[in-house]
Amino acid sequence: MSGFTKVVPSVLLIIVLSAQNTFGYIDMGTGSYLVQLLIAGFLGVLLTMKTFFKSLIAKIMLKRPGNKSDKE
Amino acid sequence: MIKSNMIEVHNSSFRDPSGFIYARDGVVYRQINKSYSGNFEYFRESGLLKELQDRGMLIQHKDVDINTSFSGDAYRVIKPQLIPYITYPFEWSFSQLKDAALLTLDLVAEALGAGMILKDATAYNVQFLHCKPIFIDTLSFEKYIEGEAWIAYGQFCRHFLAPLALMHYVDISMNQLLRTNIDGIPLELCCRLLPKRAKLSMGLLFHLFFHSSAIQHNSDLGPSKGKASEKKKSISKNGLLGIIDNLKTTIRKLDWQPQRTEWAQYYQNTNYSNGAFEKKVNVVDKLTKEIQPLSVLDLGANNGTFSRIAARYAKTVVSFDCDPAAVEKNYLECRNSGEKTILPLLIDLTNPTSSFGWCCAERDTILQRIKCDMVYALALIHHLAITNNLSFDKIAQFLNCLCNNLLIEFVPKSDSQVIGMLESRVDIFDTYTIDEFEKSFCKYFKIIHKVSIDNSNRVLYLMTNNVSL
Repeated sequence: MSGFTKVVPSVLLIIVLSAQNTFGYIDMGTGSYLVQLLIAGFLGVLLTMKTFFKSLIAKIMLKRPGNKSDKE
Repeated sequence: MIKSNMIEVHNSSFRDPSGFIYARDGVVYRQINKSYSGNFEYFRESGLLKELQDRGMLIQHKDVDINTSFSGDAYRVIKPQLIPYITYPFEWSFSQLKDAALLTLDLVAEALGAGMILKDATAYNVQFLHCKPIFIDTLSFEKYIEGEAWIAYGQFCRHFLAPLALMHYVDISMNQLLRTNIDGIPLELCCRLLPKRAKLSMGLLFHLFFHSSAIQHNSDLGPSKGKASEKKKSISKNGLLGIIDNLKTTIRKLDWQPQRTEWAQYYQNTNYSNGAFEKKVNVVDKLTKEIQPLSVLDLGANNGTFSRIAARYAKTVVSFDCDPAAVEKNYLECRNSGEKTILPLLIDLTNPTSSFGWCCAERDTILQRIKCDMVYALALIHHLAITNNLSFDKIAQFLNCLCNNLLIEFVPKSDSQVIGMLESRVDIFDTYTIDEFEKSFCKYFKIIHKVSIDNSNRVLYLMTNNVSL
């Protein structure tokens, strides 16, 4: 495994003091929790942007001349 | 099944305390335990259960009398829709596994929208019905608690993302690692097998490489530092949806194009003339029509050409082949054409799925799971007898266990396919003759029809089982 992929979880472990208590019959594993904690913020923002641009494009397409929905 | 007073609890249904599957007088039920009542009522009242069932994403069920329950802690008993054939993820083609993965992610996203989440994400919770993936565990949904992580994230990556990435980047046969790893491919193993270029995919970098490192690092720290303590860090719902969306995008980008394999091009390369092939198609159609089977098992089905003939008459057709390219082509053809009858499966008849898991009984053998009225064994006998050195007697005995009606093709030594097989080896098959074939098969079957295929040396037989072993 490369140093790059090793460093990220190490840094995260320093920042994150603890893992969350979760319930369920399978063991999530602290590693799986940590990586979700690491990427959730970034991917959440990415999803918000993606949704925003998709709706923007959809609005632009609707406003195009000749669009049936626009005429209605 | 574990037997108790005429009731049998399924051997694989022991992990989740929310309930379990059992059979009473051959009818399959699911007991919902009192501990799951709150989640189940929320699932129903939120409308999510009906919505998912109406959209064909989750198995339908009927409520039945609680007196049919297995034990005293029952809250409800439901009778799930019958899945004719239970299959396992390493028996699926690339696109079948990919479709099952995307269904699981769609379910998580839908559940989150309704204030619930999937508490497990094992590939064994997905089955194929009418050639589409469907989720079969009604008790996998639980209330989502704001700030909680997705508990089944690691399981999803091991069961779906890891095998798909390995099949895409390394080799299509990598899904067979699921056969030896019942809870999915360990991420550390997956990352060691993947090429460095796989890290160029942001999704794989996050969900496999970072994920594996985090697991490894945490286990290196030991229990005192690696375990959870009091302080909580929460993950927003939008963050979770971001993870699900990224997993979907990553999986959609993984693909596999069937190469020009021996079997994927079989019907183009075979020595059949057009006329002979047409004759074979007509004979298969006529003999199947005569039997009117409810279900057909097509052994060595290739891309499913003859399974489609079986589908004209049977309600269910299972197509076995050992070539991933042929199974993939068959599945894509069924999916694209809306064919609902055929279930293509990746099965090597010389090494079919055995039972495995806890007590060697958690998961059943393929022969326990697939029973059909009629079996097609077309252009198969020479592969079993010559490539795998099986005697006609052993083959006949095996086929006798599978069906009542057998449509089998005899391929003689004069056939170009057999000549090619014997080119590079010593011919030790003195008993590979049509007389010996008939002699062996008549111990177990009665020959109803014997039809020679014009312009080829091959002969088709329709036989019925005359011995019940």
